[in-house]
Amino acid sequence: MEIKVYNNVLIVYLKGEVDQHKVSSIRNDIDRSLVENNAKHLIYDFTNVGFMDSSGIGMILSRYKSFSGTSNKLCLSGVSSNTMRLFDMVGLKDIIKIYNNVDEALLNV
Amino acid sequence: MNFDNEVNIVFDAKSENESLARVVVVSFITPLNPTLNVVNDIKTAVSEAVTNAIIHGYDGKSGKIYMNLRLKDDILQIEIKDHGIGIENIEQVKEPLYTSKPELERSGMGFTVMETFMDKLEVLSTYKMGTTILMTKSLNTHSV
Repeated sequence: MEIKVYNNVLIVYLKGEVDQHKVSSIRNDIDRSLVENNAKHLIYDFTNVGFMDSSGIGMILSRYKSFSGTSNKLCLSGVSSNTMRLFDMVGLKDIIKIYNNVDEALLNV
Repeated sequence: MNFDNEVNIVFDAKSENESLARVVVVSFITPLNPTLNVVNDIKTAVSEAVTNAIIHGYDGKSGKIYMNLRLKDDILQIEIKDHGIGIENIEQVKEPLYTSKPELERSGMGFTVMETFMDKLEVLSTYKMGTTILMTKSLNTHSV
């Protein structure tokens, strides 16, 4: 995983396989980076994710809930067709914006 | 029943072994040349079952997970068993969005994923004795 900050947007570039093992090691890094950089918005980029299970859904929804009621935005980018099937199944597509790539997401947050 | 192929593995209930379980099941079915969607469905279901055994069955404590894979024609049977705490109310844990571990940011979608991505799901559990997940999926590689 790599984290970058662009203005007030935190961009989390996820890599490889996103499962409970990976999520438990990165969620604190994401929360710390949000605070340290005073970031308002969060983009999870999935371009380099080869596999994800529902642990990734939990990671996304947890921050989505903490952003609700604020003007802060959370969105996703670069989602593969396999991961999209999972998002579709759990109804994530109905509540969170998904963009083709980070550049497109940045234009919309 | 005589199976065409069968594999048994036992591994520690550690989250770093989630990927090992996925690799084993993919290696097991690859000779039948299933589609990528089918492979991904099975990988995801196995990942959910193993994760449940680690964080719910054993609650992060030490224990063993037993994975049995069986093939008959193009039907895959997967059994994932733990000797952990078991499930008091199976219907409750199968409800979408139910989780007993919100502090771990669990989505509560694990059983829904398994039910959706596999053809058949059975949950056998005895409280304080352990849980067995039985899943079946046709690889659809023998169809004309």
